[in-house]
Amino acid sequence: MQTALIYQNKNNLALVSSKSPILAGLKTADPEIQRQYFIAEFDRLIRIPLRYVKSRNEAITILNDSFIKIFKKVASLKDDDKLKEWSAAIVRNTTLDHVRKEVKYHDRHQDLEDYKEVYITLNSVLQTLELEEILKHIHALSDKQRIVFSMYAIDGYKHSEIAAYLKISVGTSKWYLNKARVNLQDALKQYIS
Amino acid sequence: MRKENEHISLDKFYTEKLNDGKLEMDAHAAWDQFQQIKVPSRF
Repeated sequence: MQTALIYQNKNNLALVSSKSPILAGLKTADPEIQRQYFIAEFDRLIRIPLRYVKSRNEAITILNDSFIKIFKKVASLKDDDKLKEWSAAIVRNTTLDHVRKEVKYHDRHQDLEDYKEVYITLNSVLQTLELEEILKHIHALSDKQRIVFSMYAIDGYKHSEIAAYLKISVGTSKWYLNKARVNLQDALKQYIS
Repeated sequence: MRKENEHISLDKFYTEKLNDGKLEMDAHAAWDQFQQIKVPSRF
């Protein structure tokens, strides 16, 4: 029973990873499989737009657009083992296309060296800090700081890639990353006695 | 769970929290909303 299996595994997504009946169902546009897949993957995929945009409704709109693309294009997916990464890439690209339209950058042309990574010391409060509180910190950043921080620190883009994507200089990308790190470090100070 | 007093990069701290923290959003409600905008001929 596909339904029972996917609900049992919705947190570890084992069945969505490779050569599963779920993928076969997606490729034939089975409506029930699409529903199961959406619900199983929602928690993982909504986190991508949530860290780029402030509004949950906006994040859901981006995710809905992404799922339409996923359902339309999945039949052409050649490597079944790549479903998880492929779907995340679609959500990430849809999110970045969205934010790139919304946020206009003024290139500062600053020639900054790479800033050293910021380190923090975990205490019991930081250990147990909930996601909702963390999202408040991310959403309190300026749009530009949040986008560069998310692209660099979380999604693993290089400064050269961020600069090309946002049509800014590498120095400007580094400048926004540094500003974001300083502001996030300040946000954590309230939990450190 | 990491150890208390462990040093960790700020980037890694936020990445772990954003990826692993408990999210209070309802996937079933989101599916219902998705159904309202879904155009069957698109798929």
